[in-house]
Amino acid sequence: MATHVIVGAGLAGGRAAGTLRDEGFEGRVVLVDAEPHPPYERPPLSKELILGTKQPADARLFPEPFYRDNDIELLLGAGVARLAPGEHRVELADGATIEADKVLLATGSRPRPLPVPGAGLRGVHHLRTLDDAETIRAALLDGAALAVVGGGFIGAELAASARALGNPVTMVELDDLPMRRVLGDDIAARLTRFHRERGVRVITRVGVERFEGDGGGRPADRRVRRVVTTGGQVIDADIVVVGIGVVPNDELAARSGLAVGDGVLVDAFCATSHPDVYAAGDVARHPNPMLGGPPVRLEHFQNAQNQGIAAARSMLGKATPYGEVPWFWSDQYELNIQMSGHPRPTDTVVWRGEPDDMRFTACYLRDGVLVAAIGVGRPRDVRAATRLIADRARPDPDLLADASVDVRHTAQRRES
Amino acid sequence: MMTGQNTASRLVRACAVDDLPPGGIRQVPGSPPIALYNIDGEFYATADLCTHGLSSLSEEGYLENGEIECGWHLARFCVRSGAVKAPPASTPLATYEVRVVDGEVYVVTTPS
Repeated sequence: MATHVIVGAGLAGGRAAGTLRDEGFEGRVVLVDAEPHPPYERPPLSKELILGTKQPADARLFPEPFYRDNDIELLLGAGVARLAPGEHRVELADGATIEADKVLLATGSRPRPLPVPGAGLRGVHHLRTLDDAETIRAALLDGAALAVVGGGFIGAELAASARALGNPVTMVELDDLPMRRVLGDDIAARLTRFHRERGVRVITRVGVERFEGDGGGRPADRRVRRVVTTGGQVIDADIVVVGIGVVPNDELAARSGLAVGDGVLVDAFCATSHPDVYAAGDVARHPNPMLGGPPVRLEHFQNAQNQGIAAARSMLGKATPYGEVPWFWSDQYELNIQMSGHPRPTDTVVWRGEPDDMRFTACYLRDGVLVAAIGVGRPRDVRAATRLIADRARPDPDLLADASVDVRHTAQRRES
Repeated sequence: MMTGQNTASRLVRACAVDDLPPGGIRQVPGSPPIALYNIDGEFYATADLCTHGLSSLSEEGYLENGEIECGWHLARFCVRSGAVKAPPASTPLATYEVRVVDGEVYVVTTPS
């Protein structure tokens, strides 16, 4: 009986396992992960789980009986030491081996560490796992003053959630503005103002010099009390969450002899340099025809979900190319922010809606072709724009600027 | 199944036929709210809240080819059957019977 092993039980791995069964695979499916939890979705970790509007069980990708009903073996709390694809073998950290006809690497990414003094103090966290979210929520419920290091989406979402719980929040961002690199100056400025108006203290253009704790002894016995910035500011904090990006977990691939380079290199079908090994999700670097240019590694929910599905189909010989317009969302306070495509600062921006009321869509045209859209509170615009981006459509800027016109109806001419 | 209650009491007027053109969606307020769709002149109704993220399908969804897509996380459902057509949702939408009488659209607010 054929065995397909999926290493990594996150969104990509979980969706891939389900897809193998949906597509009629009748062999063994083994889902391996070092974490103790069955696959769960990460978006709620910085929002509903912190707020308490969802419980950890609500974040599960599939209900409990799914794995038994679909005969998917969950091997949790298990590390993988090495793949030996030539011998069709997966070697586990405890010395056991699994015979595998095909392997999917869905090992994801991990938080980028911040190597400054005090980073090992109690109360200095990342927010990546269910356990992280539970620890942070417990501290916030105790009234902890939160310092967020890094104003990316995880940090901004957590800041919004913590303010909703009533905790004091300070955000420290190295760049001119939080989220600026992704959203550009104008929208980042509007969002930053929104955070400030809701009580977040936002400090920009500084890094962290060190974290300071109270008392003596080993760092792990002391609790963080202060963040000292490179600008000399001292921020009182009972809990710190560092969100300065992630790095791909591609070491297993590298030591198994697969081609890597900031992620596992895959082709359009999610196949790695070994024909029986595939990769999907945060760890995979793939050529995206929607973006052109060099291969990209995307860290979005949609990418993990749909690339995992595509990779599973490819494993079954149903060669499925993966090439979607990158899309992600972020929920902060009552705002739903969505972005589709990859804008550049040199693109022409057409605004729809009411930017001052935080209900708008910014559409990005490059040589007349729609290449990206960022919407706040206008999900339909972004959905329609995504289709036009995929079609390389040339919308009429005047129609695009008219928020009463459906985005679907703004493009008369299309590039062939 | 009939419960012995007056059937008419569960029939809610949604709108006039002319109020919802083909391709349109509108919310029928209530608890839970219902989304009413006009697909090529035929009316259909489902629960208004996406079963994955609880966003309003009538307010933020995207209707295309007889499927409604949640505006938040892009789960898709068949408007006619409520069946899940795309993840991340896994639970189907409840569907409701629609009756058109004398140019008025009514929804039976007990799930079909």
